[in-house]
Amino acid sequence: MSQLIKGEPGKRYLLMGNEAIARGALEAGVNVATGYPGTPSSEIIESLAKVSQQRRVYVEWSANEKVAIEVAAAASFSGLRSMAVMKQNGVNVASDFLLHLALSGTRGGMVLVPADDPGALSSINEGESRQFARLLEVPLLEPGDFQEAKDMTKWAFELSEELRHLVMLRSVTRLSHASGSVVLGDLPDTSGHAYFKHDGFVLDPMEGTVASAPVAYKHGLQHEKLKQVQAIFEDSPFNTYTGPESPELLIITSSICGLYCLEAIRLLNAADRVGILKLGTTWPLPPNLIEKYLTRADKVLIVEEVIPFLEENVKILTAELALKIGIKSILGKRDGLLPMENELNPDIVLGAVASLLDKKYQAVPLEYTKRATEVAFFGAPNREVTFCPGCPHRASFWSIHTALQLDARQGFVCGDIGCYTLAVLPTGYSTLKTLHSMGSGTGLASGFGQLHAFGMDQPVLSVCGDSTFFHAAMPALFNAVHHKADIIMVVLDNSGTAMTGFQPHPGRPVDASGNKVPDIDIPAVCRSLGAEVRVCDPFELEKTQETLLELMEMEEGVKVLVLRQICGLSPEKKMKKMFDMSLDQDKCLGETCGCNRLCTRIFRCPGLIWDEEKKKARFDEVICVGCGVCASICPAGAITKEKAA
Amino acid sequence: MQYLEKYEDQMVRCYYCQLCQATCPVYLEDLLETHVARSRLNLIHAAFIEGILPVTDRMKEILDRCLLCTSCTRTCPGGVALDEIFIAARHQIYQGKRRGKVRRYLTHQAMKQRGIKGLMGKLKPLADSMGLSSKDLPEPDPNPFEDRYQDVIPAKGQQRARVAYYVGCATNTLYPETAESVVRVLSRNGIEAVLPEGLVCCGLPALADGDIETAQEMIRANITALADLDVDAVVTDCTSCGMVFRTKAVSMLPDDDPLRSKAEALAEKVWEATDYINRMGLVESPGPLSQAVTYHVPCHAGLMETMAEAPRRLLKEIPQTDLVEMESPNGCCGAGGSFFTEHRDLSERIRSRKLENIKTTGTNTIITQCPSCRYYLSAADESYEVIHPLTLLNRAYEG
Repeated sequence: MSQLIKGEPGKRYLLMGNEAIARGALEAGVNVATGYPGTPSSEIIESLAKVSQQRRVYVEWSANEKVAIEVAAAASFSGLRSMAVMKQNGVNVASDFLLHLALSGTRGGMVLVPADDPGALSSINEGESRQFARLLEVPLLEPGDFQEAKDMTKWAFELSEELRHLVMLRSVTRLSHASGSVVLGDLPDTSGHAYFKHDGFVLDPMEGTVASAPVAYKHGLQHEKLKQVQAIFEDSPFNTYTGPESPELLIITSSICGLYCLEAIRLLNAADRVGILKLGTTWPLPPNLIEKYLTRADKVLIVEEVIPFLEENVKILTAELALKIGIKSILGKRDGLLPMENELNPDIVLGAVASLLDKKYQAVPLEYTKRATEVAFFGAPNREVTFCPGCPHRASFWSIHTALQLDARQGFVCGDIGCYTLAVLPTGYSTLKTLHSMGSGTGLASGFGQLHAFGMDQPVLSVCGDSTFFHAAMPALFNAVHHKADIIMVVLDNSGTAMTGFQPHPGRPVDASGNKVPDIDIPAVCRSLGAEVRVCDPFELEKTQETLLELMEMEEGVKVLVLRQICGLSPEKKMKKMFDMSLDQDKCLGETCGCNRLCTRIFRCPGLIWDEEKKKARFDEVICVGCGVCASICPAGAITKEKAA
Repeated sequence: MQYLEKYEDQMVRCYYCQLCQATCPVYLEDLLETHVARSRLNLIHAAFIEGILPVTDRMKEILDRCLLCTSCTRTCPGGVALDEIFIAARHQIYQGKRRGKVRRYLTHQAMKQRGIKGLMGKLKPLADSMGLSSKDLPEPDPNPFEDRYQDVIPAKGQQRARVAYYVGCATNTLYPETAESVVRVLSRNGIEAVLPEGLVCCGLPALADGDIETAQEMIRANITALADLDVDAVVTDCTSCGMVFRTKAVSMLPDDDPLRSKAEALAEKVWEATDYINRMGLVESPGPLSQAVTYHVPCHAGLMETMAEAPRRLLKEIPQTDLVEMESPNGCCGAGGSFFTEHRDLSERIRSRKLENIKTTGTNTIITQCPSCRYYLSAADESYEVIHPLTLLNRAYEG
């Protein structure tokens, strides 16, 4: 996005929320930006990587989120401004270091940007990073629109520097991935000199040792900082109130929900009855500000997504202020007015507000709902989630599934996080039987692999992608090797962090900014640990299956099979066909195929389709990527492949 | 890229919501990812805008396998004119030469010359060139509407309005009694009908072939014949002709076309006859007709809300006539103009859903405003009587 740095200060541009955050960091003169890819956060680092040369920013996709925050912290300790970006799950991964960092304090302005995913649109949990602000005792900022996304990011650096404390700026999917207009500010000189001063008085925050100990003393300093930030938050321009002097209903809200509230109030035509206090600084809450508005209304509705974080904090304040402001009715999630799961939208907010105002309002016309239900349930055909045509994972799981069937000991596969997560579904022949956080597949396998002492004789397999291998699977692998767990770890190496957009990882020869870097060879790492390592091309089904069966026959210990085939959508491979495929419909047995139409009913690559008119299989040449795998699937030999020119 | 270019901005407005999947009749049958509007759009973008996909036979097959029913366009929350993009893509692929020389010549001639000496006179050689038996195509009436009526059909009683009547090719030659019903109903309700000279085919068959230049010729000829008439409205009995005048004429003409402003003015004046009569209100009350009917909404009625509602309202005016709504009255019948002649198996599968829905209503009388739907539905079952709503109204008048 060239307008990220080419745009003229003072002018208005259309920016994606993530770009606005990146621009804010640039306006703050960020020098180091790190992260691990994860939806909806990825575009922040990607945007910064594109301008890293011009703006003198060191940008890296770190091996995982904990390392990302450590790399960023080092920059802060050396007096530079730095940020670490991740999806919410990443904060879980980084939390151990974060808790210590919150105690040790920072020097150069340092911002943690987690992007949450309410409704888990691109996640397999609905966790929240806001909890961490309270847990870590760090200030929490929540931009409510695109301009704020930029402005608050810039401010976050200044605030952090003033407090010498980590500041958390939280985004959500609908802010990160939507676009809005943003007036740009000035970009500072690309200066910044790094020096880590460590020889001063040991407890001096700017010159001594950077550590969390002595804990009680540092914790005390941390609480001083929180008092200081509370005072700053009292006057923050990012906390705004719109509405009548004494509203019948006071809404307290934050983040993108502020826009939902505005829309709901406008639709209800209730601007004269409802006031909206939109908070940009949500932890610690500024008590005087909250008190000021709580005194004006008796009925308060808290509008926020997923957990009642703001609601509980406001309730604590209300209890503390009870003698001064009297009894207030604080409504929201705990009374069931708003849901504690999934995203909100203006309609849901509208429903809650309308019921409190005794207004009749059908957010969605009943006739529309009826028709939408009809279309969704009766009109729209069922459509399965599937791997792309020619996806290496389909071939890998075909082989894993087949080998387990042939072995017939009820073996199973522990799943992990990546595109291949889809193999819990029929597109991956329902091969995955456990599914949790990153790296957990091999950790679980390491545990299952110990259970033969208790009579378990099922083969234990795990899968992980190449990026996941470096992220969190390696410690589990070390554990399995060290304890002689009887497992086969299958590394599905498709040469990049495919699911989030091909970001590089330590196994790739380039970094985030496109510089050449040393790549770490996964098979070599595994061999160095003493594991039995094989490397296959998953498109060679027979060889892959033979290898898997051979590994399953082996003595106890860790076996690693690296299935290496580049993702068909990767920039390097896109649009290049390996094979020209052809299908002889005279040879195709159609419905009489003894294998129940193996290609179109079971293998089910979208590149192979059923010709309803001829009752035979055929290729859908416009989407077939020519991987050649199905030529080995057809029992009648109707499919042939020829090396593409 | 002459025509596709115009839609480049629109193409990127598709945000893959997949709502077109729920309404595309072809996807419903084929259940293939590449056979739905969104995918067709992606392929068009990849082949013609990005230039990263070759135009293969398979791609042509996918782009041809669309009835232009417009259900995707009507569903699209992004407002992408998908049907027009498909037309432009067909133009890009075939450059107006989708059909062989002979068939092109015949179609062209047929569209220019109306009546028995035009379209229908060419029907036999056309059918031969398509490898169809005469059983596959409707029999032309030896006495087309244009031989039955000319010039002006005056209003009975006090004149409330004066309209030009655009008789579609199919109505003129296959179903002249529909046209007769239209002018009689108009007259009975105080509306004078003018039958203008110089009308030609509306151009939709040419658009379906991607032959935009031929369609433009038709559109220009019709605008020239209709635009300057001193009439309150232009009515047509065919929803597809109506759609062309209402929405396609303007978008298919070049921006600097001298007839463009006339096309824009005309678009506001064109009404499907049932819709127009309903809007004007009945002067004379119809007599009773004791029967149950069901209403099949032609796809192209969907582009104007009132087009689909008008027959329902008018049927209420006929005593003892019961409208039994079928499941999915808006569902496509599979005809798609002449689409069914080239995709017989697919069209029959689409139609079989419609027939099942008709069956459950228990009536054999089907009302619809599209001659293509009418032919294709009646060809499925001889016991079906498929008629235009105004034919029914005329019967109620004439007893």
